[in-house]
Amino acid sequence: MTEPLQTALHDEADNCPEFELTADPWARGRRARRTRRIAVVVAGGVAALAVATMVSVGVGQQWSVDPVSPVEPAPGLREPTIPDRLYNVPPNMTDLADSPLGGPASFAYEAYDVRVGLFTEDVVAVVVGAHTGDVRAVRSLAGSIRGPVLSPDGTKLASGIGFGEGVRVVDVRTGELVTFGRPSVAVHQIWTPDGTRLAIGIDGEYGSQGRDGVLDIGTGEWQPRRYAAPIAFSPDGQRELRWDEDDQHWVVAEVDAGEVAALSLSASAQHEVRSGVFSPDGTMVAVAYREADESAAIAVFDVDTGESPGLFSHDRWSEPLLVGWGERGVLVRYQYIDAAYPGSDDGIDVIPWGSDGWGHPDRIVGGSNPTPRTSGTYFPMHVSIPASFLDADIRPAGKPDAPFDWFPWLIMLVIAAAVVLVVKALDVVRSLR
Amino acid sequence: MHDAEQTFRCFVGARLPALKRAAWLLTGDVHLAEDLVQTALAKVAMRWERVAANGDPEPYVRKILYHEHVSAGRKRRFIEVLGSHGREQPSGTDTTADVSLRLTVRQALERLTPKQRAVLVLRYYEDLSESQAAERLDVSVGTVRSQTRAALARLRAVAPELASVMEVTRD
Repeated sequence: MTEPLQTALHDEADNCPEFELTADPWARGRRARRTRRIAVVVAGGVAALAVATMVSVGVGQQWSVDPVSPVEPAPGLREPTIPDRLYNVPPNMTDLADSPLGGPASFAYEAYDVRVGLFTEDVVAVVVGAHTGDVRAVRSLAGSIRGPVLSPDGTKLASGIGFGEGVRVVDVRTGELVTFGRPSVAVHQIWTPDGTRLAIGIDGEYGSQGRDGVLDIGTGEWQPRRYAAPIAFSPDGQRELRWDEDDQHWVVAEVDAGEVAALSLSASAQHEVRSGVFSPDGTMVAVAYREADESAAIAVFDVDTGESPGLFSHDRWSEPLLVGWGERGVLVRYQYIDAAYPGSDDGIDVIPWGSDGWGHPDRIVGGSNPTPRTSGTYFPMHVSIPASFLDADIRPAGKPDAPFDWFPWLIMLVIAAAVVLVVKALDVVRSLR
Repeated sequence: MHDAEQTFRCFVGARLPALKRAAWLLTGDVHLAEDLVQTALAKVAMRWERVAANGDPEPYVRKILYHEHVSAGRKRRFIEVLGSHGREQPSGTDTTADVSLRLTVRQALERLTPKQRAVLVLRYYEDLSESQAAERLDVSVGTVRSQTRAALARLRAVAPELASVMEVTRD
């Protein structure tokens, strides 16, 4: 049936001219196989490198201002080791109302242990935030932190930034940052008890801006004053403890009474603006300072009479810093002068105060090698943190996931596609030639 | 010499003439035929162990041969447009009538597309069924049928002197 065409084709095939293969197909094929394997390995390496780059640069976790979900404290990590209720604890703070300590209080810490989260190992400041009783890092802050202080309700942390850079307030629950341009050289600030304003001390060399002032963080209004460094407010917010640098004495003033100092409390020895706290009932103030021999002194004064019913001194303490006054006494942070107490270079003690005067200090935190408590170790110093955080599940929060930005990767993908097309086109041209 | 290389060379030594003839029919050009065989065998050599392990390697080799022919057809035609090179004249001692018929067949085949030519060779030289040809080219049976029909129609159009052959072939 198909014989004629078949015959013609077979005849044509049988008359195929003689020709030899000019190259060895085996060698050619094996060479191509090796080349392909090398290409696969190289492509895999490049792809792995690209993925690693994407992960490390763009898709990895990062510190962010984005709100982060609260980190639930691990069960069993709370232990009430500070049996005290500090005077400025908001009684109705819902987040921390169930804390065994009764709620937050102004407290001073500077943590060098990264687990606490105040400072990372490379000394990048990190705000510690409180949300549900635990402490976690909510965002990093570039630049210096001058006099950081947490608001009485534990929700905002204020600090000076640096010379000429103003003041910033961070919402420690959300990481939201608000920066105020004035005062430009804030070095020391305290919150009013209602948490709406900051009394800010200005570096003395920049007196043209006033000696201190009040910043309304709601409106940003700055009211310069010419008083002295603000140290503490009374629990009812009616009185203010200041340090008068010119006259080198403490002043208790009525907040609404202008610049009239109600009481002038003289404290002997080597004065230095350090710290002071009101008693829970607001009738007494305690101020800490350094004696001429570098030892610590804590004086208690009656804010109405100016009398000083008690002076506490410790010859092995230095750099005393009062961080709160609770029901059992005054909390003081200090450093040891010498190595008389091996392994105990600093710490926090509760010094009971009563009708009989000062009691024996009861150490609650301390040591250069602090015993790990709950979930972290910490060194108290300058940053105000609610006291209850001491026994909360202290840990840095995981870095929040950064929102993925496709833009740079789209560009890279387009470039990669263009490169592939060009290579492919060159290959086609080469094969055509 | 490794076993794989040895078996490959044995296979090539035994089947190379047949592959050359098929390539010659597909291309009608000795250089292109050599290139086609060379490329097909090199591709097979890349994965010879697997091909040999699956049994008779020839169907696979021929499949590569036809695929290469079809896919390289466009490039080849592009090159031919740029500069046509002379066709090799086959050797052999034929009668004038035979030579005339073959020349006519060859010229007619040159007018076909690579796929039409491949289908024609598969169906009428290798004597494969439509389904076998479809499998060899990785196309559907319908495609083989339509390509065959188109190829024969074109042959008739470009070489009316082959009409008698076509008529008989149609049956």
